[in-house]
Amino acid sequence: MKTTTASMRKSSRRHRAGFTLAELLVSTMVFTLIMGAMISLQIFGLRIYTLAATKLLASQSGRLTLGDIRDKLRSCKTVYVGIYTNSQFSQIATGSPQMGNAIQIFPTLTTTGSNYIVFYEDPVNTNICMVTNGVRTVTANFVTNYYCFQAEDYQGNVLTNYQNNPVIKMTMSFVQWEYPIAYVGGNSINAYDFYYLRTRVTRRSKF
Amino acid sequence: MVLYLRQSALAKSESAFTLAELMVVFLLLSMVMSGLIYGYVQANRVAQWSAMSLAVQSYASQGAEQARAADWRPRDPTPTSGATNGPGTRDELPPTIAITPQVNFMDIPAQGNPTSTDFSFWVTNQVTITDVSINPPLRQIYSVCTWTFPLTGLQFTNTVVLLRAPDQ
Repeated sequence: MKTTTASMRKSSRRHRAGFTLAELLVSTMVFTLIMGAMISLQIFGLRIYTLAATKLLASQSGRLTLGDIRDKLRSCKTVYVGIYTNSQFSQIATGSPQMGNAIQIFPTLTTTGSNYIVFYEDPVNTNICMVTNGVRTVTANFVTNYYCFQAEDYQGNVLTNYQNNPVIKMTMSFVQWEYPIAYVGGNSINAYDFYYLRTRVTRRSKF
Repeated sequence: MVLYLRQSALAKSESAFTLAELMVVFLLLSMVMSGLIYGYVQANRVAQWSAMSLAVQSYASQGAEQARAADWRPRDPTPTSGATNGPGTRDELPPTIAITPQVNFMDIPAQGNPTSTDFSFWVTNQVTITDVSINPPLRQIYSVCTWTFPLTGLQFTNTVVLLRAPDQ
């Protein structure tokens, strides 16, 4: 009989060690709350990451291009602002504001032959392209403004003739998302209607 | 045969959490969660500050480049007008000329179009020219941009300094 009594006591202890339905429900609810909060945090973090990545990647090639043009302008001997159409660069005529979709850079004093580099904005494909030795290369995407380049004087006035000491101002306007999944605000269409990259560069060797 | 199957009151009370235990758990949970959220918010804030600072630095550089474009050719003959400095002369931007501060908006993504009354995205640039040395002639172009970080209201300055010699 002792054996039976011990067995029943053991059974009773096993019963006490388990969870009740109420305990399970409460723990499940707490677990669900914690997991929900963690997942919400992860989604929030991913959204912020996507937003930042969109901002940076949309203009990354533009920043690289601005840096490249800046280096070439600082070291060049001559630079003209003009219009580039049908694979031809035309300098802005004297008397007209020196602003256009292209610049022509001469790295040396020689201004004949193909001794130049042209950067221009392609309005059809909304790209910034570089032409050197007749080879065209796309260097930046999603640039939508046509007049990307203008020549100014040291006071910021747009020049109307060619001068030896111009400040070349470059402006790139971006209005297209690289990743359209990045919604910003309540309206994902043209959420950012104001997005520029600008810089000014002066040649170092004027004479 | 006597069976003792009664569950003791003490064992029953030990199987549950006390209110104090639950409060401690909730406190710890709140601290961990608020730490995580604060980390996300702080990372976003620093990223925004970096973007603004980079844009302001670019604007300071533009002011310095613009001043760098001014002619300074002291060895040229004196022009017939007699003016030795000022626009169109051989020394267009001498240290004696006070340059008007330029105000413009930052090149950062912003919702909507900034207005002149919204100073969250605006930057002020002041360029100063000073003589570093008379012989040999050397000038310093000091371009300072001041701006306000909108999330804290604190003011910051970014500076670009260039040295230039004449006839170049």
